[in-house]
Amino acid sequence: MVSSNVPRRGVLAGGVAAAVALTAGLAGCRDTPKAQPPSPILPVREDSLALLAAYDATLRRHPDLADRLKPLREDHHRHVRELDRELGSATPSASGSADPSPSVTPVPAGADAALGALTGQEKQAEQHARRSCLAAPDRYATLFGSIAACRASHVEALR
Amino acid sequence: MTPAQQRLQQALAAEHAAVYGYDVLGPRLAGAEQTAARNAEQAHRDRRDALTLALSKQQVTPVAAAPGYKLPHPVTDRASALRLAVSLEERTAQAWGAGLPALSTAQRTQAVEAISDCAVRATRWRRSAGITPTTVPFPGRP
Repeated sequence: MVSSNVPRRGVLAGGVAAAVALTAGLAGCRDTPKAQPPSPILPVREDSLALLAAYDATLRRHPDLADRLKPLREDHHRHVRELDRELGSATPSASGSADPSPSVTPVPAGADAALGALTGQEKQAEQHARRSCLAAPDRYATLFGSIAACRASHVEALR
Repeated sequence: MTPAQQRLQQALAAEHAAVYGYDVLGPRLAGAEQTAARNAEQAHRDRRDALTLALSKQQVTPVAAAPGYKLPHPVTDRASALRLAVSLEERTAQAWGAGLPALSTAQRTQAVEAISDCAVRATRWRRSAGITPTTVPFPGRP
């Protein structure tokens, strides 16, 4: 008798739990249609946008550095475009232009200090992209690794 | 061989070719540029040795160096030597880059370092050669 009751209660409890889970699942589904984990592209793209904004701010403050900085800025622009292409159209901003959102730290008045600030930002972004590459799904590994390497080459170009 | 091992073999083949290429171009350079070429060659030898060891440990026979490699253009002077150096770094980076998806996390660490090192050296060589821009947006991608 006892032994036949226990499984029944177990089944009932399980049924309730399953129903709750199902409801929760449906509710989650309805309320937040984009409940999947955020794309691994987003943090890489965010850094690229921040770098773009930093180069733009530096170019405004130091127009005489244009010859050196514009090609590097263009690389970041290409990264954003490529990352947007990978993201597809369902993105917060697929325009490929710099969002006004990234907060740009003030550009130093001296050219050397301004280049130093960009170097620091490139180094940090390179480390981020490396980590993204290591954790990336296979299809993004080469892209993230390539972006990391490009940022490393920028550190050299800014010397 | 697993796909990862095949990719490591391709990276190894590229490192062999880079060592060969630097052997050819080094004597066409002088002073600091020759020193840079020697250091670059040593860096490629180091990666070659690390790959050889890693593959051997996995019971895979590492691909051997070819007796010679077809160069993209004749190396006759400083300018052509610098151009070859750029090309060697770009090709080696591409071999590593192509392998990234198949590699484990630990192997990816090694690969990303290799691509970054190649990209940095390529930038230096472009600067020496007066090639602009000195960077490319996607090193390691074909």
